[in-house]
Amino acid sequence: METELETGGADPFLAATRGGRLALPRCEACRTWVWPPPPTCRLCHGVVSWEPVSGKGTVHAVSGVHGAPDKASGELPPLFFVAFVELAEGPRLMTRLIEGQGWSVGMNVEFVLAAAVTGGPQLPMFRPASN
Amino acid sequence: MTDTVIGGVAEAPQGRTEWASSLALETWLVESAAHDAQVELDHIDALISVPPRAADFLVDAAAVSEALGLRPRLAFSVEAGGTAPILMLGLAVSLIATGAADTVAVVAADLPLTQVGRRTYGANLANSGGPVHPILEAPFGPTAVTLFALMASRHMAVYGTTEEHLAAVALQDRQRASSHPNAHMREPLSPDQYQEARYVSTPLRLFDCAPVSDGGGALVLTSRQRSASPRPVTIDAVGQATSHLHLTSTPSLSSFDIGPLMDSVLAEAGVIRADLRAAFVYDCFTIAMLLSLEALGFAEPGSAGPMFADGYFDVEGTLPVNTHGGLLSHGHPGRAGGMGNVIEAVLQVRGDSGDRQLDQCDKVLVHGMTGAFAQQAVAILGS
Repeated sequence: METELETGGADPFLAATRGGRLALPRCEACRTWVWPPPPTCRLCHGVVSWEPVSGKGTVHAVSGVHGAPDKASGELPPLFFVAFVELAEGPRLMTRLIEGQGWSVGMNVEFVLAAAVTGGPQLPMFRPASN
Repeated sequence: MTDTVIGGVAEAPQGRTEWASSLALETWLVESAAHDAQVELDHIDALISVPPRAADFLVDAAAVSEALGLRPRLAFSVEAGGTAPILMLGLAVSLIATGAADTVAVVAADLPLTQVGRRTYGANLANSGGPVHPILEAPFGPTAVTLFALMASRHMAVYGTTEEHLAAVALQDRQRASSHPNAHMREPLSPDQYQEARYVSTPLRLFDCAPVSDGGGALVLTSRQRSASPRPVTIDAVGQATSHLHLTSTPSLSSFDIGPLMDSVLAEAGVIRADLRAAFVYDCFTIAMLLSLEALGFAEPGSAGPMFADGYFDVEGTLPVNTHGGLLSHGHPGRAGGMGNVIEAVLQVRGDSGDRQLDQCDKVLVHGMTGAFAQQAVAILGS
């Protein structure tokens, strides 16, 4: 399992979203959630394993990314929202906010799998919480 | 208090330039700084550089030595982002204190605008060799701007910082740069122009971001006893702190306090913050200025924005900052970002800042920062 936990070569999002549910690395010894995934717990160097989380969180910070206008046409690329979401369990992930608008810090959101680009890998993103 | 003094400096005009190569610029800077220090070029026995993006030498400092016809005892390049210029001062202090070198040249210069291109440079920052984590952050599409936009979003939510506070930084920097002959962005910037510019990554607009500039600077350092300079500038204390590399790993998006580092450099220099006549703060974005002022302890958390808008950090205020216009308007020359702050700090202490000169500027602080507040460095310089 340790190779999956290394951020260099493995894909931690594949491990985090296996089976369509969100799981995150947690130290088996001291029970600390450790993100980004380290080879061993950053605090006590205990063994780290993936544990399911609720998928509920709040918007910690958000930015609408406008990008630069196209040189030829002057048109702006489509606007998208990059955020840090703080999960109910504590860890904070960089992610995208989708299926909503009027985004602001503190809004309740929930986990959803989506691709950032057509045909791209499925990534953990967040949408407005259903309740 | 260290025994090392800055004997000479050199700075090239920042902005769009016509240098044939970054190596040509680096060699001109080292020669000019040695001339300013009244040091024979071949007395330089240690050469430290920042590897520019516009070149790809095995060891950049060896390439500079080769081009200058020098065979220094020590030549190496450092990788420390926007803290590199100040880290190089610290390395020079160590080399001179231990006797490993007598005369040290440090140079940081790059040509990201004409040799790399603005768009390629920006894309590189988001994809490789930049502050964005390639696996955990890059898939979501942030640019380097987005990282600072997220800090601004959080700072606004926690402390009530406003876009007007950010504007105050951009406008003041531009006003200072307007009288600097080497500054990249010297044309006047009005509040309306700031307001009407497009958002790059909310809440940051175009003029919240430093330009991509060519440019850089160099310094020649030696011991107090050895210096031939009529106005040597002392390095009273210098230090660096590392907190993380990627924003994903930072404990807070709205506070990057470096209290322990500040305590140690102030103690070594034997001064308190109120003794400082000016500060040169790493402001690659407007929000970086406000976060840095709070990190340095010049403003309580959340208060830098209102203080800045009130003129506390302007030339007539309590602690003038960035009399050269900062990275935002003096320029951000790629890997050499932050060298302009060091050069202006030296010029102010020497009394060589021309129209920008502050009165009795005998003790100043210069600050550098890497990536998304991954590292910070400070030096206290004096006369």
